[in-house]
Amino acid sequence: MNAPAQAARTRRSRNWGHFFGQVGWLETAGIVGVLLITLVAIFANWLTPYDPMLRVADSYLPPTLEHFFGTDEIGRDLFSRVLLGVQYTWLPGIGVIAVTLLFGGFLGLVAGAVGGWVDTLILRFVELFLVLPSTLIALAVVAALGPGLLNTMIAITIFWWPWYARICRDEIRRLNTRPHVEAARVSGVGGMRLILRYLLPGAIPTLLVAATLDVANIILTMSLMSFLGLGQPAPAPELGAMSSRALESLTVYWWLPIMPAAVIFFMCFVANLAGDGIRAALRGA
Amino acid sequence: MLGYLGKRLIGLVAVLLVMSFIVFCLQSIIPVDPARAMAGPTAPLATVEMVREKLGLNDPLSTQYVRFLGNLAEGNLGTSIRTRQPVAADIRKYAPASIELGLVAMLFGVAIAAVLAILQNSSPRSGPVPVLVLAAGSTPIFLSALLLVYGFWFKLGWLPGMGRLDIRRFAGPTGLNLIDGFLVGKPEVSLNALSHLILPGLALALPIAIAVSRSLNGALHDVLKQSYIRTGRGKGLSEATVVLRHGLRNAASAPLAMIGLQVGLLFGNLLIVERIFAWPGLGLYTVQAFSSSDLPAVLGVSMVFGAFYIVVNALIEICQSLADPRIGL
Amino acid sequence: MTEPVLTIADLSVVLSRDGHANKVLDGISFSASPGEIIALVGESGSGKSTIGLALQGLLPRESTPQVTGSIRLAGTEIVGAGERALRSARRHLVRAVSQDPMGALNPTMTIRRQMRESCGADDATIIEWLGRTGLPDPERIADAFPHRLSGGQRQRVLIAMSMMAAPKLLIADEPTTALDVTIQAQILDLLRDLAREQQTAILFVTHDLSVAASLADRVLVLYAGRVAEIGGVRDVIANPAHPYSAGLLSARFDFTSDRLRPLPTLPLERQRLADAASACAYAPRCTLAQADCLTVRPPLRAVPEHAGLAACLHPEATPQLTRAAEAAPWMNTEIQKSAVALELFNVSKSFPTGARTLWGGRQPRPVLKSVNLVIKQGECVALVGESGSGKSTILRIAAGLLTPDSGDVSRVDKVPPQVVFQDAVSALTPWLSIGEQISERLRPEGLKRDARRARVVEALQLVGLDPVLIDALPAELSGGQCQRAVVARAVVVPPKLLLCDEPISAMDVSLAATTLNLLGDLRRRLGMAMLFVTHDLAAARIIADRIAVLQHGEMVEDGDPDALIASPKADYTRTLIAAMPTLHAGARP
Repeated sequence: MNAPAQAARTRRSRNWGHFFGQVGWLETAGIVGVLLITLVAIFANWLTPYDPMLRVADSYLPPTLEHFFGTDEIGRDLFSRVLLGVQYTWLPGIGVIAVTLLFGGFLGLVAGAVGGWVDTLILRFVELFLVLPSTLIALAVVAALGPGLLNTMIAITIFWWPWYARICRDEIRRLNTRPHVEAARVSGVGGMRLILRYLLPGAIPTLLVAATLDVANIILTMSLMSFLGLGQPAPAPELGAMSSRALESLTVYWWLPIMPAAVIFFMCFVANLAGDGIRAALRGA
Repeated sequence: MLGYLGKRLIGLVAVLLVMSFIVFCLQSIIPVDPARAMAGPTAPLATVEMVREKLGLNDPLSTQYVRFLGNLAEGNLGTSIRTRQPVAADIRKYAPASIELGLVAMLFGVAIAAVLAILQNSSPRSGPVPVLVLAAGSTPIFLSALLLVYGFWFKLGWLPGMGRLDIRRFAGPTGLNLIDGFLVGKPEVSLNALSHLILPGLALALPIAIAVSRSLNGALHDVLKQSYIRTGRGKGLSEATVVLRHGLRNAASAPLAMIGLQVGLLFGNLLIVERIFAWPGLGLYTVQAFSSSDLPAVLGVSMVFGAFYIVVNALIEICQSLADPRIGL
Repeated sequence: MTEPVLTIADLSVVLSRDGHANKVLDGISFSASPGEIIALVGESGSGKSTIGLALQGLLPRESTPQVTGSIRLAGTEIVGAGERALRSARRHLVRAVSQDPMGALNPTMTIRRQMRESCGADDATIIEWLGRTGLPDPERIADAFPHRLSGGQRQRVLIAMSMMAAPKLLIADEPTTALDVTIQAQILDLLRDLAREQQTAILFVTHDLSVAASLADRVLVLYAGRVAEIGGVRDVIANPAHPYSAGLLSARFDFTSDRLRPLPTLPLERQRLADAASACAYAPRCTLAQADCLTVRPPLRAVPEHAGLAACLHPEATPQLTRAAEAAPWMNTEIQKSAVALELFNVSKSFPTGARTLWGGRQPRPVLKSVNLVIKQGECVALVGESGSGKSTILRIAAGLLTPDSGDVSRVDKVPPQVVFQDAVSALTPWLSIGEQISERLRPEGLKRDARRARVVEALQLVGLDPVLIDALPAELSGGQCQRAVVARAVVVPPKLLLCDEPISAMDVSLAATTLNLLGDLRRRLGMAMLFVTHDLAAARIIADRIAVLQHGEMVEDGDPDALIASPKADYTRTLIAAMPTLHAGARP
């Protein structure tokens, strides 16, 4: 009879072992990778080997050990520029996810927990957004507001939060009819305590998985807009724009358009691996 | 059934109105003054005022919106600042190229999705296939397009990488070269068009294939755990029959919805692929409109494509309810 | 003797989950003749369903089954057979009817197409078979989609689908647990008749000995993947040779069980077996275990008690169990005739059903039609009815989870009534510890942390849970422990009224008896009134002071349990009583 007690005491440590047992090394590498990319993005200004805005070598140098990604048409170090580009892409991406997750999650929580006409109203509003072609309207919004990183972020945010609102609302509604929530109600739990202790924790795993798997989607959408020239204007080292501007030199200086795109791929791949890992861990636990 | 369709139709009209309202709002909030843009940067103030009056920009917004809707109903989407042509005419001119490419991409996408789903179902969970699928799903569309151009056109020279045709000045009755070649009795034109379609089609198909196969796989995975699947196996049906006859239809809803979503994303990707492949379609037209701040063109294309997307998704929803008798019609 | 249609010899199955190999079946041997019905009886986890899956070659592939031994089915060896041979065997030799008729039919295919798929029969045959299983209007049913049919109708369709293929063996895995008692009786009759007519052998998997008794020719008792005892149904019931069979028999209750004292239960597992391979698997629970039971694996051999076989080293001791001393009777409860714990007066409730119309409205379907119910303080009323009778709706109204459309509900207590839910595991919040969930009810009392904890520990002890479990998460508890935790939450501040929603419907006999004992003890000790909602008249009789019968949202009858069962006034009650399977089959009308 002492076994369960011990199990309870060693719950935390065992959960970690369980976590890595469920998750597999590739996904674990993804989770570590996400943390590393975040660090690199934050400290990009200190990590660049050369000044990303100045001519530091001959133009059009192919990738070498000195210049990992070669140099561009005016002799700037491409690796340094790409490193700064990671900052310009990754941090806004995380920011958009955080804002949409908080806002959408909050509205979903309110709709699901309050129910009644509040739910109907929020749900109709959310569904309206979901049937509109979001990428397209986001493009139109940026075109109307004028290009720029902030406008891109605003446009994506406007059309991304309804997804989380819907996921959160559905999850809360589902939990609300579950016996354990009814049992809590019968025990006299109500109001904020019910929402925060019995409803929200049940919806968080689903939201978290959706959000981590969306990091890559946000980055892809933002780089798409950047490629179309809707991001930050010229000297800013945005990855999509760098690739787009060097498009004509693809057949001669392939590294100029390919390298920035490859870095976007790398970020998305790592984020997706991490998302899969978190999903596996939460499903298994 | 009729009641169901009626309700769908009302919903459809409502969403289209909202879409048009958003486009109208975007038109009104632009920082650039349309009258000034129309009259030209050097025109005197009086001319600008005259243009403003002519465009009805001094009327109250509600009047402007009603007029905007009336114009929409007549197929009038305004005049492009860049080409100085009616946007509707421009769209008619460039749409066939995009429709052709989009259809081919959808076809490729769904076909590749089916192959991927089979591969993923017959290989172990931890094998290389899921990782490859994940990698493909993480690829920005311009990277795959660039690699395809670089590899198959520039390095290997197997397939053409630019434009719709090698022949100049070919105009068929439908504008879809793939069909027109046969219609006018020049099958070599169709073949040439096909060879031009393969690379951009593949680039566009990749994200569609990944997304659809992922959702199909997920749905199939859940459905194959249901007990009616065991009933089917218990009847001695072969595994293929069980999956295709009992699994697929029950798992169809999610991938169908995903195809609908992908139609929306396809447009964004068309912009990029048409730019990289110099494909003279709506995408390229829109990209050029972006760079010359040609807002009427951008909004016109958005309105047309948005309406198309909304209608396609309404149709898909009807398909979903046809596939599942439990959803009352 | 005719040639057996099925011969299983030394069958063992090892299933692996998350890398842990688990021997689910261990040296099973038996055979079945054509037309014979064999009941496989055992508690959950005894491996009884695995036998059915192994017979069809449908063991879940993801658990990498390792099967040894032999299954010969009408001359075909199943163990180690190729996919093609297995498919042919499934098509022509062995069919199955599953536990869950609601999910076992493809929702997007008409009944007719699914029937045709079964053996390529033509339309006339399909209609004929649907008619043979007692379905009214077979033409309409054939063209319907499954969601239009009730559970009983679906089970009939599934039986028709299986039997029309004229299999040599039918595996029926608890085919009636999801159905109402009256439907259950009809389905059992149908299976028995079809097996006779077609000379199909049936393996009937069940956890309910009385269902086995009313249907089977022979019974096979499984314990921990091994055969404990096999023999003629009447022989085993009259003279069980294995202590486990004897325990199962004494733990089950029916209309003749003694309701004045706690029910006998199976003993709990006292220690883990050091070496399960060379020991009696039941030894850790057996009150008669001797030293050699822990060192010798008992072979399945002839016993003096009856013509069957049992795996027990000392079968001669088993009869001692049936003569074991009975528990002390319950103390007398005081029903305060004057004080009312719950009163429902003219309560009605409807739910919207069916498809929405164009304007979003839906047809209301009445579930309760002006129901009156009074529970006195300290009294236990059992509310008996079949699915759709509205019994759970009454409970939810009494709990305050639903508001009635009309009528009055009065509860006379400051502590709101507490609920013991049907599925204890899902009634506990997975991410909060047992202690946290129980102490939610202590919050209004404004106690200090330590005092609260002490009260929770007290409640855990009251329901017989080890207090160290206070910090455990629900996932770390067994099903029985979860049930006790739910009860502890309900009684930590004793309410005047406890509402129980089918708390034993999904339980093995022994656990059900234990739970009934626990509830019976607590309500007497804490002086609680109780509303016990159930579909099981026998359980209602054991626990309650009064039984109320509900049909289609109306009270049909209520009265003293024994009087009501001895001389029911309403036809419906009579049907319910007649449909209850009893151990002594044949006595049934």
